[in-house]
Amino acid sequence: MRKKKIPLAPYLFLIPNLLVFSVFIILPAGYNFYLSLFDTSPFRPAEFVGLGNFLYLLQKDDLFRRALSNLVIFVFGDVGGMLVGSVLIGILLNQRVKLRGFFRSAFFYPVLLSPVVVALVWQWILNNQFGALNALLTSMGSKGIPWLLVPQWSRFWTIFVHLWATLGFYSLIVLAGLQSIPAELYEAAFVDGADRKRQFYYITIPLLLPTLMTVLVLSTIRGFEIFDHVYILTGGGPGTATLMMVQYIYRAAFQMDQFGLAAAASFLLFLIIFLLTVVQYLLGKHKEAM
Amino acid sequence: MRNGSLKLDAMSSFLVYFLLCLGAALMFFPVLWVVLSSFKGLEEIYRIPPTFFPKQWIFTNYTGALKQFPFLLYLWNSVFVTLTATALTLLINSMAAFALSKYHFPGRTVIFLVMLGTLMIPLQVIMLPVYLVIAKLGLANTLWGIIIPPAATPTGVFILRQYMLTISDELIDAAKIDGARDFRIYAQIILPLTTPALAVLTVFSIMWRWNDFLWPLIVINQEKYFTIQLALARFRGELVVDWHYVLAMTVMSILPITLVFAFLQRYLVQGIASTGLKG
Amino acid sequence: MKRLLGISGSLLLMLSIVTVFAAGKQEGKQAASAQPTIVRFVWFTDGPDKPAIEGLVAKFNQANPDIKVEFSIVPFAELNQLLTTQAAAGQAPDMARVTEPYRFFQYTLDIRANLKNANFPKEFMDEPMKLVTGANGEIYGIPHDLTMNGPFVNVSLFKKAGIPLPTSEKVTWDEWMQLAKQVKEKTGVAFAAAADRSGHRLDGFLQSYGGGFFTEDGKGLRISSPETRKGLEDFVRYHKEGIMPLDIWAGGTGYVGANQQFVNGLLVFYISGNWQVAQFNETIKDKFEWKAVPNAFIKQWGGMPGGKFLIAFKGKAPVQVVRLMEFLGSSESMTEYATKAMFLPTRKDLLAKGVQYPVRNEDMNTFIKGLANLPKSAFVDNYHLRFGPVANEVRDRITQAITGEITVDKAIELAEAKARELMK
Repeated sequence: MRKKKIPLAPYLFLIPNLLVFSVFIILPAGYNFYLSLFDTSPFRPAEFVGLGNFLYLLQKDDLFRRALSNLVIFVFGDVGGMLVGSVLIGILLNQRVKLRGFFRSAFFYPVLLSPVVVALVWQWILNNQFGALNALLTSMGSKGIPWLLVPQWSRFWTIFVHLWATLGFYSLIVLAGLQSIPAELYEAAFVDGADRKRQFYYITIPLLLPTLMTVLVLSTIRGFEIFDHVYILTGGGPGTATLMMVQYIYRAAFQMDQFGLAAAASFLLFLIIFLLTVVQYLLGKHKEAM
Repeated sequence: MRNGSLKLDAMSSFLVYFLLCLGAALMFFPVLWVVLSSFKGLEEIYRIPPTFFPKQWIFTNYTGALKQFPFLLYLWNSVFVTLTATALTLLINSMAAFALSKYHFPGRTVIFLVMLGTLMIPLQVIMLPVYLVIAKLGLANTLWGIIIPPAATPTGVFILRQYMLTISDELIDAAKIDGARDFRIYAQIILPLTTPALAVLTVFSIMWRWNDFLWPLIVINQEKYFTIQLALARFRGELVVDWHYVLAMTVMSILPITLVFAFLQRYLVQGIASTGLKG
Repeated sequence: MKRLLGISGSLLLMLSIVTVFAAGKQEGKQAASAQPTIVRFVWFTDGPDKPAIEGLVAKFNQANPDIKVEFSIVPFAELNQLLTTQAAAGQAPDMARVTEPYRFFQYTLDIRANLKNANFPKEFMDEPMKLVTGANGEIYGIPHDLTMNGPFVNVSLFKKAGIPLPTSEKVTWDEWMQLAKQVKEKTGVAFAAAADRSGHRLDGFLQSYGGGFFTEDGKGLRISSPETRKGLEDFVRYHKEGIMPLDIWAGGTGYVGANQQFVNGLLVFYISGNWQVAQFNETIKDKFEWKAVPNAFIKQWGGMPGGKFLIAFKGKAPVQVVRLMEFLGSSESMTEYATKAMFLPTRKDLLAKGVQYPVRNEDMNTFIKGLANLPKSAFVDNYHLRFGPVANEVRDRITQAITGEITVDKAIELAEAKARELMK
């Protein structure tokens, strides 16, 4: 399919998707950027402030900075957990065991649940007074821990719950990647006397790299847009320990009536993700993984 | 010996089963608790310490919640939206992915990167302009207004493109020599080979559309177009939440998708896994 | 050059499809005139109000065959978002129940022209009426129910601890907190005192100190005034001393209530409001004895008024929507609504006459009496156009002080800076 002449076919194939995409994503995003240049209030006409909203966010707004640093912590933990967890579960699910189909479905099941349901369920489990986890702890004689009221624990659980809800999907991708590794490689290695550990490091991991790249890109981007799970689980608390960017944007727009500021914050978030994506893409390109 | 799963010795076999069972329990227990709690009275839901099995099985949470709206109609709306949107998503995403993976043309990288970059724009942020467009097109308060805007999901294009990249170009070149045109190559060669990735996207799309809440809430004005998720949400007030109804309706809303999954999991989970989905 | 052509070609195609689509849809809209006019009415519910309003809507539909009210319930959390978005695109409902009418003044309908009874707006309490009155005297709706903040006491726990309830009417917050603490220690329950996580509830607490958010003329701020500061310091201190649990205030998801703790008999003293009465009555039953008590009195009485409004939007049924509003605002409808839903009425005649509630009449009257005792500043704050966002800011900053992220002084400073920005 590599021709010198510019082909028409790919554009035709792209049109339906691009049409919907431009009208419902690009156009609104453009409008959003336009809005970010204004100081808005429900009581007076919007006032053009240029980059004023951006400067305000970066220089003056402590909540914005907090949301940004919380988000970075979250994404690191989340993506790290996703990579390790999905490889671990992928390998487990790749073993020849009885009820393999059942186990594969079981690990995938939480993926089907909506973020609202996931967060509500875990809120019930982790609740200081009514929660199942503390009930279990006290029945075993130890003291309950106010899981969502201690910053470190709260951070931990937001990551844990998000992993719980999404690991199943990434594990399946890894499982698929594992299955595409030719068995002969392992057999050859086995004959050569390589033990499991060496097989893992010298066969599994290198051949799994392209798959892991997919996991990395998708989970990073999905991590940055985290909202529902955390918002319902902790509400950003205790204090602002788990306040994330989208919640900051939501608060600015719908609780503080500052739509211009919210638009500026979301544009900055977009910029961060976009740059990260480009970097990951170039890295991937370099390794011929993407 | 296939697929690198060597026979396990007794010790590691025990470990594998142990971890698998532990994981499965961790995945199922929370949901089970919700299901059981949906049969508890309001008073028992609030009890400290919480109970696991209902002391008294109560079905009024279900009958009471169901009496408040036409459940079957909302179920139909949800099913219609989910299926149509998924079909549309699969079609346009796979076409775009085909173009982005199998052709070299000016603008390819830019289009792909822009799509990836917008993967994360949260709906809360662009809702107003999206809705303005929907209203201009006369799609406000229609099911199509729910279906069309999220159809061009960049995630879908990304997953499909990554998979199509692994399909050998030789197949296409061979077909070309046989005189196949672009669309036939797409429909008869690429699509069948992309089945596992399409299966993944199907599950994803069904799940997204079924659980969609905020967007349908904005688009739909009349209760006759309500979906299940909207019916579920109405029990959340400003100051008081009817937890017993919320729990019952939560179970009702995950029940259909669980059943669908139970029937399809053999094809989906096994299919995805056995054919291999590369990054 | 060719690539430019390709791109602009597809853009053109896109544009034409969009236009054709839009045009086709517009032509399709041909309404038959014999059909009843549809009035779309959006509501959010806190439970007992739902059957009450549904009964009234059914009654109205029956009496007015030329109008069909389409009633729908949406979750409160998304209400503002929903109405803002729909209204901006000209798709607003005809009527909605809201808590902050000012947000929609660009899109609301001046009901005066279509009123049958021109005196109708004057039949409601003056203070809340201001919130649905535009800058040039336009009337966009009516206050439909009134709430009043105040504390509840678990009487049984006091008895069990052998501690008598205070006999004097005027009790300070500090006295209540110490009593609640003693009862908690004697009975071993989990929580002494709690207040809903809401800037509105916090302001009601501050009122007793003579504090509040806005100056009397509404033009300035007094978040950092000595009275407000003292109140906020106490509020944070009660959390640090463990009298108030972190569970309610440490989170960040907007409103959090302590209903669960109270109805389970685990909480001695609970600052909330009259909307809890119906649910408490239903869930507590005979498990323990409870009652509503007056707000604290330090410099003055505390508490805050609150309530919901019905507003009309510009749309296709400007006459019909006003008819519905006059019906729901009538003395008869409001009596039925208030008694069924256990809310306080907003009509002057009903407030003067008093409402007889079928259950928990005494508790409801504690709230009504509290309403009469409220200082003017409570009304100034609650009916200030910027109350919503300012209260949210104070709430979130005080939360940070409670969890120890920042000091109370810093919280006050930050909250006032943001409030000043919002007042511009």
